[in-house]
Amino acid sequence: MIADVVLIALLALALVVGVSWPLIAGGHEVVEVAVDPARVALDDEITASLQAIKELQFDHQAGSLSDDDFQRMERAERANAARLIRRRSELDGDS
Amino acid sequence: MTSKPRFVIALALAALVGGALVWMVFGGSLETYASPAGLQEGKTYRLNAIVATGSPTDAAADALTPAGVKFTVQDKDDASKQVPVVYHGIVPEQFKDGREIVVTGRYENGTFVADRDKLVTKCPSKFQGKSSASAT
Amino acid sequence: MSLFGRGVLLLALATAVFTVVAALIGRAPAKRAWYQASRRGMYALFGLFAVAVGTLQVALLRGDFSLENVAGYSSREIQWYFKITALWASQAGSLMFWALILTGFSAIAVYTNRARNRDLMPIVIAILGALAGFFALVLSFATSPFATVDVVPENGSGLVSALRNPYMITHPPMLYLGYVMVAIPFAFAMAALVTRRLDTGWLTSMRKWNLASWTFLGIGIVLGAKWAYESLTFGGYWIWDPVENAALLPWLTGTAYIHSVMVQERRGMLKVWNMVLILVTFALTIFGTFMTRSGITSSVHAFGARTVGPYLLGLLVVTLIGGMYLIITRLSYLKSSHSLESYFSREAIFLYNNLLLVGLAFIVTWGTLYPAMTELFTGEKITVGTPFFDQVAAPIGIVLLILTGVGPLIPWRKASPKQLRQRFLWPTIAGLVSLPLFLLTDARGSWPVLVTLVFAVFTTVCIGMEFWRGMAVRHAHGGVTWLSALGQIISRNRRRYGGYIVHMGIVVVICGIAVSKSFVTEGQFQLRQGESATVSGYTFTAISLTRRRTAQAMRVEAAVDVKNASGDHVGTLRPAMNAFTSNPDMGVEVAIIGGPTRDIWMYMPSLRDGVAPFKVFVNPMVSWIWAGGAIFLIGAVVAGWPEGRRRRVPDPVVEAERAAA
Repeated sequence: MIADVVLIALLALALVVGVSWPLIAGGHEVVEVAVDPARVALDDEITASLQAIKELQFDHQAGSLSDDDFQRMERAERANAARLIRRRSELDGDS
Repeated sequence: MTSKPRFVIALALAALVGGALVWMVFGGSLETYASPAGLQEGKTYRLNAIVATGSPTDAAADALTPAGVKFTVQDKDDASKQVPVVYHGIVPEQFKDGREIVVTGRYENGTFVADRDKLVTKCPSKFQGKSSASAT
Repeated sequence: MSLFGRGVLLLALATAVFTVVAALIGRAPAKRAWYQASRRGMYALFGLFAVAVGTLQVALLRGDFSLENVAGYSSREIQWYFKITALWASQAGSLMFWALILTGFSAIAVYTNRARNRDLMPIVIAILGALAGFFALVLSFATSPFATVDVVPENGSGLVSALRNPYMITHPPMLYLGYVMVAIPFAFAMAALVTRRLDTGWLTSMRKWNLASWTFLGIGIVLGAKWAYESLTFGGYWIWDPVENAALLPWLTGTAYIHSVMVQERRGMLKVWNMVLILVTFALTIFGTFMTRSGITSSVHAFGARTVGPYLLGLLVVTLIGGMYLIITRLSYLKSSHSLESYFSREAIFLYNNLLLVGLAFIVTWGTLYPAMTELFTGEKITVGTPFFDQVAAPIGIVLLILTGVGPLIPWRKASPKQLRQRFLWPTIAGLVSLPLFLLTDARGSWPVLVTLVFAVFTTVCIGMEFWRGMAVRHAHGGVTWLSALGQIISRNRRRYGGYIVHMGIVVVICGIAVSKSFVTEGQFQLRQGESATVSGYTFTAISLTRRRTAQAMRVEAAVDVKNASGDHVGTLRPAMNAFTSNPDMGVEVAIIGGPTRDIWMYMPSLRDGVAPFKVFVNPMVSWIWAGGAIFLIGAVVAGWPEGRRRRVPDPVVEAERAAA
């Protein structure tokens, strides 16, 4: 009985300290991740875009896309990818 | 370019036809639960009742003979409401006097004629059937 | 023990409240510390539920029968691994296990997104924290896993025999994993709505989660069917029981979601539809839990206490109203970037597949709830028979089977008649050729089966040709053998070819269901020792019928020799029946001789005066369902396998354009 209560109290204490540490430590807290989230999101988008281009090419070669459609869609996707990559270079240039 | 209204109309029509078909099938597959008190001549039921005392000790063997096993069931709340049952097929091991059962069949000429293999005993323990845990 | 467990659950409740509050404060970019605290809160929640589950687990293993959930679901005699699995045999224990999985997945999602989605994550954490809090609340005040009994029994009442089964170890956890995992994509979808960040970013982050939850659900359903087949006495694997339906429903809408998400990724369409689908899928997991634990539907799965029903109903209502409110207020952000251009395009096929799956889910829900509704409004007790579900599912299943083959062969946007002729020539020929061949077999007895089989051939050839074309493209580049071409196309397009393998698994499952449902031969007979009976060409001879006392039960067992029509020995069936001494329950041991073309299934209910009645089923092609399930799993693993750290090879054209710009 007593042991249970003591254990719970200890657990609660550890919990309060552990969870609210970022608040207690305040400004001293080192920022865990130095990566800019916008940059990470951009990376994701670029990967997705390049993947989409590859899939388009594959579909076209396997005959799932007509020539017209392929050219139009691929051009659009490439423009998109190029735009994203430019934006990434701008971001990198800034930092 | 396909026009949106035409597409929507086509979908609505398909849904309507599908719904009508489903409804037709649905009507034919309903089964009504009943107790011995509320049976009507010539209708199909799932009869939920208790096996009255005096059921054959050799029910499992009788049920496999052409004549079938004959026993009486009584209402869960009112022991005076009784109905004779004729049944063919597999009899669960738990079948005995006083056990709650569910049996599917038709009420004909004052007797409940059960469908083959449609006798289930309800287990008195907390669990019946497969599990409490499966699925959720 | 009880006090400690209850205390941990209350701490979890407090932590959940803190986590939600901290996450909401942490939304502001300047309040980074609060956001970090909320993430720690999520990890702590997982830790607390792990401690709580561990506490109950220790109690189960040590046999602490002062706890209701130990006394009622365990006993001294049962094997140690069933003591562990007894955790999810009880209602409170299974809900706590559920909470453990939920917080575990939440912690993983929070960790993997620690450097991403800074704007979404606080809302995600708030939603998942609130869900964890819900479970902590229910487990603290509605049904406690640490409830004690007044009189401590000498021994527990043991685990019901049907639960003492290897599937007890695998089937419930699989389903829980699938069920609970749906919460993660749901939380991300809602967070995207709240923050109005409705680009495809969150969809991409959720791909693996969608696939994983859907796979676990599918495998859980197949294992459940196998469990029913091998340990229940009706000789089948699926009876449209409310609990089975509860597992099937989110899988159906999840299947729709997995497909329609591709349309959004590729063509920017169906955005509202996808939001509705993920909301409905999540709501169905809660609805399924509610349905099976509130007692509103009668089921072969009986549940004990019904105290959690109102809580779950409340959660369901809040989820649906909140979700619909978010979707409606964000409609202007969910505009399609394209419109449907042709009825014969990949996106149109996906749309048909979605409508059919959702339609089927709707009908199954209707059939499942109808008895409860009529009883509520008219007082009349009725049930919806399995023929209803069978007759509705069969045609929808056949059309879905056809779409499975057609979909991947039709290009996005628009198909030209020439393309269609080219691509469907061989599959159509194969289907037509197979028809007379099937007419030579027993399949001619049922036209739905014939239709199913012919289209199964059609779809198989469609899928095969997709592989073939991919290999041809790779092989044309030169330098590889055909086999390594196959390996390369699969490893470079895992999602696509994994998907095709999954499709193949589904085709095999559908064949198994169609044939086994249509051509069952049933036989019943009584045998004394040495006597024989014949069913469907098989001769059954009782070699021995014995009754003996074991440590835990009175056991009746038989050895029945089986010979086929030409007199060859097929195998020996050993069905048995245990009457346990510790509880009034009966332990049925069904005997099965499996095979690729047919199963022989036998059940022996009793043995009286040396006479045993037997029930026998000759079920054709049931094993195809299990084989199809295995193929499904392989495909899902291929599709979801991590891409591996690939070298960043710059695309020459993009690089050139970049240089030019």
